[in-house]
Amino acid sequence: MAITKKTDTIMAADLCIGKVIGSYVGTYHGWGGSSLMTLGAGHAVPYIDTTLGGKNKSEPDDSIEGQAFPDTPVLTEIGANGDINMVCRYLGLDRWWYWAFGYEDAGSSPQSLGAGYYSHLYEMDLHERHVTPYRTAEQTAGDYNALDRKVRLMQIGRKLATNDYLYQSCACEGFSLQSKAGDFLRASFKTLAYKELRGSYNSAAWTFPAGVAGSALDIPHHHLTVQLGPPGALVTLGCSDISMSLTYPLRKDKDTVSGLYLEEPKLEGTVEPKASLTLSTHATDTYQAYSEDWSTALCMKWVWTFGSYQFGLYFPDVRVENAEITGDGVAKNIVPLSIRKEPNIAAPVFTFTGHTLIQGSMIYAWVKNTNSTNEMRRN
Amino acid sequence: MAVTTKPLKKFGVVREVSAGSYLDPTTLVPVTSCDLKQSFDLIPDESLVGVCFPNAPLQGVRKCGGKIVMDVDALSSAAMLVAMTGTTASPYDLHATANNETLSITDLNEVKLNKRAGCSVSQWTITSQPNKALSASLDILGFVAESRATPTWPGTITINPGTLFLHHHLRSTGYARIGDQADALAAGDAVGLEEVVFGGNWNRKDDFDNTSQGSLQQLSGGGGRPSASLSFKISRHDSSLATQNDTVMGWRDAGTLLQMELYYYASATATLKVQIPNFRLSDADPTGDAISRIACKAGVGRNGIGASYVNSYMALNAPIRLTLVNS
Repeated sequence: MAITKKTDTIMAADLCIGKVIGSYVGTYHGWGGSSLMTLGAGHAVPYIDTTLGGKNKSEPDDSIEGQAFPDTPVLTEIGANGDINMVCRYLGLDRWWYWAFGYEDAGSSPQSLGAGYYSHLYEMDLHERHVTPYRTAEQTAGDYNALDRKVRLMQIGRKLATNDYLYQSCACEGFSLQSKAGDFLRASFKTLAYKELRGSYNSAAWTFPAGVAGSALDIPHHHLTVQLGPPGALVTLGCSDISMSLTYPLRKDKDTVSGLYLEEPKLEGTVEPKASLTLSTHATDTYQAYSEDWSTALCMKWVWTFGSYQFGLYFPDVRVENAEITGDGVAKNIVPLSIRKEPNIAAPVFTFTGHTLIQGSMIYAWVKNTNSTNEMRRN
Repeated sequence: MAVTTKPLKKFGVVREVSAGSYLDPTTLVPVTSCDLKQSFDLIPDESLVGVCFPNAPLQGVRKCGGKIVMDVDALSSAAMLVAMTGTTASPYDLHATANNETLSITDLNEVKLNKRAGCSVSQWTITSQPNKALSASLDILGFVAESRATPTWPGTITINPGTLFLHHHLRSTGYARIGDQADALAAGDAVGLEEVVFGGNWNRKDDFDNTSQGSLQQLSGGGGRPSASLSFKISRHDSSLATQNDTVMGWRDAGTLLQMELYYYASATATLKVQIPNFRLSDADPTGDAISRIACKAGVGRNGIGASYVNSYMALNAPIRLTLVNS
């Protein structure tokens, strides 16, 4: 007898192959492709909880047949989606950052920093999220092949007592990050999958990468430095709470070819990330002034540091929306922000030593850890 | 001085012969909560007459109704099942075309006897959970004005509450079974249920015209098509049991037509069988609890028309049938 217990339901994930798949996209590792990735050693990831599961739709038939009650509804869509929540770590989440942001330049990332450490720069792909050839400026890999494709899909598995549950072709529909005083940096990834499969998918071999399991490399709030201000004049702030979120507006549709399943989701609108800071004490009206005058260009960075490890989010162009003062016993200053793309990629607000900026992203993630693999070129 | 206190309240019902004509109650019902009331919409006077404050509002239409929650027992539930299903005797099928049954509901408190005629059940659910009696929640709509009299119980109660049905009566001689429609349900289809909720919605609504300050009789389907509902939670996501492993998710993805039977056996003279002959799962997922359950929701349909059954192993057309044995 095997009963599913939450503490046993480990999760594993790997990025779908992108290299030299141009001839196979429809049947190989593309959306709903016929082949599956094999999850195994080094693919396990610690998570808190998830609502990822099979989600189908059915359509009622309200035909008038002289009967009070209708017949049973008809199955019209098979799919899977849900959120995955995790405590962030300095190591072990690089696949997830690439998947969420969408681009890691092959020609300049990672940079070797010595002593076994590497820096990765993840940019938001500002053009598309579906499987697509590399644009000219993106063809920077030393082993670039015209059949390479940008693939921002993962295969995610969960080990349940009855079977391994595999979510094929998971697209990132959005993500959010939050860090509160006394807590960890927590991420929530909104996942849209082609379908749920149940069977034997090698869960006995799903292991964590070295150093990832356990709390040693968790990212707590007190590792964080927040800076906001005009470029070149950033001010360090005391924040009790920071958060950001973005949603990729993906078209979710079916057609006569996709049948019961969604066709590959494509970006159908603009991405509008949001962020917010809660300054622990209202001690200046600077942020009220910024929310009234948008002519001053502002940028922001959030950097968590632990020894040689770093995780940073860089926002090259932000504006303060309606800053407000709370009614607490000691008033706080809530600073909501709208986020914009790099104003001029030829003269970027932030430079990252050795890294070439390709996208002109709205948010950059710069990660320093012991992972030596470019995630976009991993498979 | 008489003061209304909850423990001294009592509720009685009787099936009306002529809708809206009050009859004295004959069945005492084990109500656990009731908020039946009469209320009036107020029509504001918004005339502009050069002063700030408006005149007093006018009395508009009268609405009667509320919710009754009661335990399901072997004896007094019969009267309620008639109003819930539109069928006058066991087996109580959700009626194929319409539910025109009305009740006279009488409740006594220390101050007044409240008489409510023309009461119909608009929607109902029955919930079965461990450590609780089977519980019915009924939304009531009435079209006759409330009548209040001296607090003296009228008529003669001939049916008092009987044996209560409990969740664990679904064991031993009783059972809970779920399966596909390839064959009749049998012992191998037994399932452990932490919770099951099923019900019917007759979708009644108030309709007003000039002939009364109250609503016209609220007919079934007046607010939309009647429907039946079912949701349940399987108590363990368990590889060793065919009805509790991933078969359930397979049914969800394949749109498999399913059937369910719940047999509450309190004694040989107190049984309630619930048959749901034809449904599909819209949701079925292992939960994120420490020990996973499987939370399921179903789309329930009728079982064919006439003798042309979708599920030939349950020869009934209703989306839900309740068979009560109390003697």
